[in-house]
Amino acid sequence: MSPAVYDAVVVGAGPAGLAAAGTLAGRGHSVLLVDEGPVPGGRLKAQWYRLGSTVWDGAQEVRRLVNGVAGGATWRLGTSAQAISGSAEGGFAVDLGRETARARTVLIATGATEVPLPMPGWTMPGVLAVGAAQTLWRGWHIPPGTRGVIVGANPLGFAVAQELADAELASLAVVMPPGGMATAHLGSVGAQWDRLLALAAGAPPWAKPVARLLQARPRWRRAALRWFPSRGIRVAGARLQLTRQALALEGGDRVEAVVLQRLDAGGEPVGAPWREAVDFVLLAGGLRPLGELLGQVGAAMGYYEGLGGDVPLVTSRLATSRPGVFSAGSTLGIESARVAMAQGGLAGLGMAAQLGDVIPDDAWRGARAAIHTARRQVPFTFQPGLEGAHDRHRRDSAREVGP
Amino acid sequence: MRFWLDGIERRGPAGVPVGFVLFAQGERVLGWNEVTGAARGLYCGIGHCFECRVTIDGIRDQRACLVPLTAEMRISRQTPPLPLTFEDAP
Repeated sequence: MSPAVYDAVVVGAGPAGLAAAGTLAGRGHSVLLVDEGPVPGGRLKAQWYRLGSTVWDGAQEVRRLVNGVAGGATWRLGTSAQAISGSAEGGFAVDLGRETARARTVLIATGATEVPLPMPGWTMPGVLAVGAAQTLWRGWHIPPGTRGVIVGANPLGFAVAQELADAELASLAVVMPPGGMATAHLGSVGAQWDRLLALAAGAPPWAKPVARLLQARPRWRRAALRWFPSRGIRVAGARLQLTRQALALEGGDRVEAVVLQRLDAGGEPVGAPWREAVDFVLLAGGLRPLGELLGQVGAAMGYYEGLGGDVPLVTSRLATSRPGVFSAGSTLGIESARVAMAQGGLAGLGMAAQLGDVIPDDAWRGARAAIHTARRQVPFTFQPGLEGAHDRHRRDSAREVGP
Repeated sequence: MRFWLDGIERRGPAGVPVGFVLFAQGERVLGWNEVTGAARGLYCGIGHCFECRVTIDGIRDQRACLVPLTAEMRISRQTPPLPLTFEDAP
């Protein structure tokens, strides 16, 4: 039986939304869980990587989170939340297309979206956003093709390269994206190499060769890149070709070739471009928080490069500036699924408090400690400058929306 | 399990999103851009880009990456509009 007014509507059944729903349902609140995807878990269900001697199996984590929600929530999978109106006093109305859900509180946990990497030929079939290859292979055991390139040398690209290691591809290379106006936000090739260098400090074991290579000062980087083998080095089942740049993708009804050019140690293209045959291309432009619904409800936002883009300013209970509207997960900044889960737990408590529950001090402390613990356990950071961004986000939030 | 692509009988696993089923079967083209007529296929895989829109059981613009395959489903690729033609004045 679904109530006329839910205590909480949770938009996004990824790690943050599932954890929040579990917390709320466990406290006896009525929850409606909404997700566009046909199955719960968001991007978490396709995550799989080695972490020291253990394996992080996203699908297993999703099963655990779904069990935590169990029958305590009403599910709306394959359903898009199109608009949110109303207020905490009068109640919220969440437009789900076929129906409108009424709620006392709302959690916006819509996660992240991939930053497009436009280049000539990128709309051709067979050219995928890199996360789609993760979903295809880890989610459904469908390889993206046999010979391919990942355009864009960034953590998401490396993570997916590692996850494709057992897909028995004939070849997979990671190359630099083209220059020009469409990719200006990535900075120069040198700036992209520097970003890799900044990330190398927290690099997972499979990225250590890159870390060693790019260590220390720019002039060392220059020397290292001068001797960087043109064929690249093996990293996580792929060939990392830092001194190759993709200029264009070619084909007809599907991608057939990538046009490449060599880069010198200063990041400048040299020599004549050449073609290599491929049957798939993965574009890795990075991730940015997906906060359309937050903008739509009028929540105060701020731009933080270290968090990946525009994120809501929130209280220490993850309440946004709009009373009754909460946020958690990658919508609050690009971080790992573990962090998203912990934030979901805290947001769940915050929403329970908003609904009138009395939350003991140690429960708040435990929920906040879980976020710090999760941050220490990350296999790699997505953005350099994450900690500085956290500090500024916390300061701005305290000033704009309160403690 | 039986389904139909552009009126031709196919078999595929139930529960897997339509776009992924077709990708696995080698179908890269899922439709044609309304403006340019250029072929389009699966791109983001999570419902953000709307590049994989197909007609399913008569309803246009369904995102193939989000809709699980079911028995007897009728999927058709959306064709570009006919090119504009100019007739000579009599």
